[in-house]
Amino acid sequence: MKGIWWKILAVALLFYSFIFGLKGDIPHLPILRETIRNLYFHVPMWFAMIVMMGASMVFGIKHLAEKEGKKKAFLENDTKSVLFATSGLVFSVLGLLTGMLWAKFTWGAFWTNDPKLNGTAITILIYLAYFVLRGSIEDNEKKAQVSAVYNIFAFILMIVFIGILPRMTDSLHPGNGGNPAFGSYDLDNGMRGVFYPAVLGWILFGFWLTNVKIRLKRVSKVLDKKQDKFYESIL
Amino acid sequence: MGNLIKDQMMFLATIVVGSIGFASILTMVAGIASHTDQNATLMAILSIPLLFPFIITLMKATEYALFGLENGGGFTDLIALLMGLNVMVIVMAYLLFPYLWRE
Repeated sequence: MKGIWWKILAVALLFYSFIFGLKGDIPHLPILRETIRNLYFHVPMWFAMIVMMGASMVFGIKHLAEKEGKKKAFLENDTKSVLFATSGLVFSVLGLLTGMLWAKFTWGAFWTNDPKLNGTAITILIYLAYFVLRGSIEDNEKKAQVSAVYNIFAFILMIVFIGILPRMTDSLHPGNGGNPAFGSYDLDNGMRGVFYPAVLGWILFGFWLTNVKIRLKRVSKVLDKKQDKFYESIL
Repeated sequence: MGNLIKDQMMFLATIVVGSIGFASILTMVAGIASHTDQNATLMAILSIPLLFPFIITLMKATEYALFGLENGGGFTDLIALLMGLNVMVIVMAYLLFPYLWRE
């Protein structure tokens, strides 16, 4: 049962954030009203997405830096890199959906031409392009090499696009284009006590999700090899 | 009609920064796409999301140049940001290219 503690922690933190997020005290602000509770669900998605995609890039770098050998031939780091990218994509879609609902009730429309929304759309496009790139190369080793390069390149540009560019222009989001950040006036200490555990909980959940996918992939790779050997033995 | 551009130097700065950015991003993406079978299609798919925010920022800078708005140093900030982005792309391309060509 090694390594189970952080899974228990993830479940505990998520349940804590669900219960206190829906039942806890919130500041009553005009326009936002009860939708402010979405802060516990919408914002952690972006934190989790950035962490997942960051992990994807780290494994991309590890793959490139790795010396030739048995481990590299099995493409372990490359598999991790792709699966972290898929988890990141899941979180970005969830973040987009929760954000769209929130926007409908506070800004009046599901989609506005906000730089952050465009940034998100671009992030999703970048990672879809990453999967298209992977799909269009036959050779597995070449695929791993080239897609790792694109992954690193795209992640760093993405951070600039969603982290720095929206701050330069007008935006409806807090903390951009001269708007005060969430923390400065309406995130009181009661909300902080739920928000940070929610962020940590979702990040741990993302790692758990990816961990399960990695183990599944490993098993299926071993089974594939065994099947190949079996076919060779009967042919 | 005459020349519609209010501020020539600002416009020139935008063109220079924009061309460097396009050249650097597209060279890197072309290097990546050249490893695939349908590299013309893939080049578009890979480069559009990377170029889009760049184009939006450039459009803003061009707007300042066309109408001669200074906007309290907003233009210099944009050009500085785009220059920084260009330097970053070129440095990354320099570091990543060896891995792209190694067989």
